[in-house]
Parts: sequence; C-alpha cells; structure tokens
Amino acid sequence: MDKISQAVLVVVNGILVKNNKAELTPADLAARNIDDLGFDSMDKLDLVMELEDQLDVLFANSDFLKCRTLAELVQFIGEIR
Amino acid sequence: MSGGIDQADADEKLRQGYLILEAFLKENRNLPTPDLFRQCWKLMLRNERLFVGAAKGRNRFKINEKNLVYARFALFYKLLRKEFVPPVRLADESAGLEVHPGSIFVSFHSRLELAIAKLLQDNSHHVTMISAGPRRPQLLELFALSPAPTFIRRSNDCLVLARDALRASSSLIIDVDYTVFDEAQQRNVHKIGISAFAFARKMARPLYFVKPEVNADGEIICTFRLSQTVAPADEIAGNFKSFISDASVPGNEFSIGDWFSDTNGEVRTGTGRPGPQR
Repeated sequence: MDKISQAVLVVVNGILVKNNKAELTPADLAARNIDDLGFDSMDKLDLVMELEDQLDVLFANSDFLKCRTLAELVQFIGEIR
Repeated sequence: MSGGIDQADADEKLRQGYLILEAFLKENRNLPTPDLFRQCWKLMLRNERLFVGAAKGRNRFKINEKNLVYARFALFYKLLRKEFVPPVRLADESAGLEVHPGSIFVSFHSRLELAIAKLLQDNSHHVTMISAGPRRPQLLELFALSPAPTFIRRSNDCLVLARDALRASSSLIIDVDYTVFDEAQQRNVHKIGISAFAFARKMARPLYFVKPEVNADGEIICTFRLSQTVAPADEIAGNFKSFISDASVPGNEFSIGDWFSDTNGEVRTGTGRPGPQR
C-alpha cells in the first residue's frame, strides 16, 4: 500500500475508533464513500487537518469535498502533492 | 389556535396596530426617515399588545418577540422609505470594534444577525455566515449589505468550508442555537451546539460572543465579548449560555447539546427531528 493510502487509512480509522465504530481494512479504501462513514462536521475537519499534518500537504481550497470515495481522496492528494 | 395563541385574535390586533401606524405615518410624513422610524417604534412599544401576539405563532427558535415585530416593521418601513437602514451600533461605542478580520463571532437566532454582519462590514470585514440557508434578499437589502455575505449551508462539510473562509480573512458569524424534539420531555427543546466552540479552539482564532438587542429608540445594539478558547468546548458553550441568558424566553432556557448527533445532520435545522406521530 502506498504512503498516501496508508495515511488516509490511519487517519480515517483514528476518527472511526474515536466514534466507537469499526475500523476499515485496506480493501475498503477502494469502495467506501466518505459520506457513509458517519462523520460530523468536526470529524471532516479533523480528517483534512490530520492528513495535511501527516502528508505535509496543504488543501488550498475545499476541492477535496468533491471526492466522494476514499479512493478519490487518495488520488486527489496524490495530484496536489 | 397555535401553541396556545388565538391566531385570529392576534391577526385582528395586528391589523388594528397597523391601522394606528398608518395614521401616524400619514400625519408625520414630513419627518426625516430616521426620526419617523424612531417615533413609529416608540408608538409600537406603547401598543405592544397589538403587535406581539401575531409574532408568537411560528416562532420555532423562541426568538424574542420584540425582535420579530421589529424585523417585520423594518421591512415594511423600507418599502415606504427606500433609503432606510436600521440603525446599528455597538453597546460600548467608546471601545470601538477593534477586531481582526478572520475572527469568529457566535450568536443565536434573533432575526437581527444581519445587524452583526452590517457592523462588521462597516468595519471593512468580509463576512461569511453559517446558516441553514441563504437569508431572504429583502433582509440583505434592508441592511444594505453589499456585497452580500457568503453563506455556508449547515452540513458536515460546513467547518471545512468555514476554515477556507477564515483563511481568506473572512469573518465568520455562526448562530449556535437549534431546536430539537426531546423524546423524554415530549417537546422541542432549545440547545446551544458545541461544534462552533470546538472549531474556534481548533482554529486558534479570536472568538467573540455577540448579543444583538433592539432598544427603545429602535436601534440595534450589539454587545461583543471576547472569549477565551483554551477551555474545553462545552465549557466555552456554558460561558456563552451565561452571556445570552437574559435573551432566552422564560420556560425555554438553553441547554448545551451537539447539533449533529441530535439532528442526525439534518440540514432542516430548527425543526429538529420530528416528534412521534400520534
């Protein structure tokens, strides 16, 4: 698994665990919709800020909100790095 | 009847009130716009019983009824005097409004939130508001807001968008109260959400509590208080609750809550989840 996918999985699972929800597996990355994770507004903000910290990127605008799936999110981060 | 209100009676009283107002407006039509508005407002306060009843009907946020009457009359008056803009000022004018663009201002549903935007805009702030939806164009025109504030719709994306707004040095106004049906009490309860306070803490931006009120001269007076953001979000929410305690309607005091979990992220804020069907 590449570094970006790994970081996304770690950050998403961190939020899911905090919310007492089951963690995702690497296989889930390809298929899961972000909106199905049950994140509230603070969780989504945490997702963005944690990924920025871990991957040393800056989401310059909210284009990432257009990503529907985690796979699209991984691809998006790859493109802006 | 609606919520214990005899709507037909309230509407009749309102009709009588506006007849008195119309006569007064006709008689004093030569007064300058601000003076005439002030005198009308004083007349309305003297005849409060005629105007308040009709405002009670659909007041899901338990907004101060005087504010509802005021907003309704201000819109009416704007039709008569297009140059009219409701007077807005700081409670403590000597201190001025020395706040940095990119600050966060939390308030509550009062029908006067755009007055806060007006004050900020007059002090060269670009304003972004988190809201269930955009405000009516008539209200934006009433307060002569130009450009119109940017509105971010309440959803689970709103804080990411709010962060972008702050980064662009826009100041953020958030109404932090909401109503939701409480299963245990079998009624709608009025809550203060903690998310905005957690957000301010995370963003490390100046956080201000703001309370807009209408005075006897028809001026909207805005009280600002700088809040610390070091404490946990629920503690800051408690401080805000104390700050606005005199603005809550008796019998409908605020409690602290979490909007997203209470409403399951439903964007139709204010209605909360529907109560049980009977």
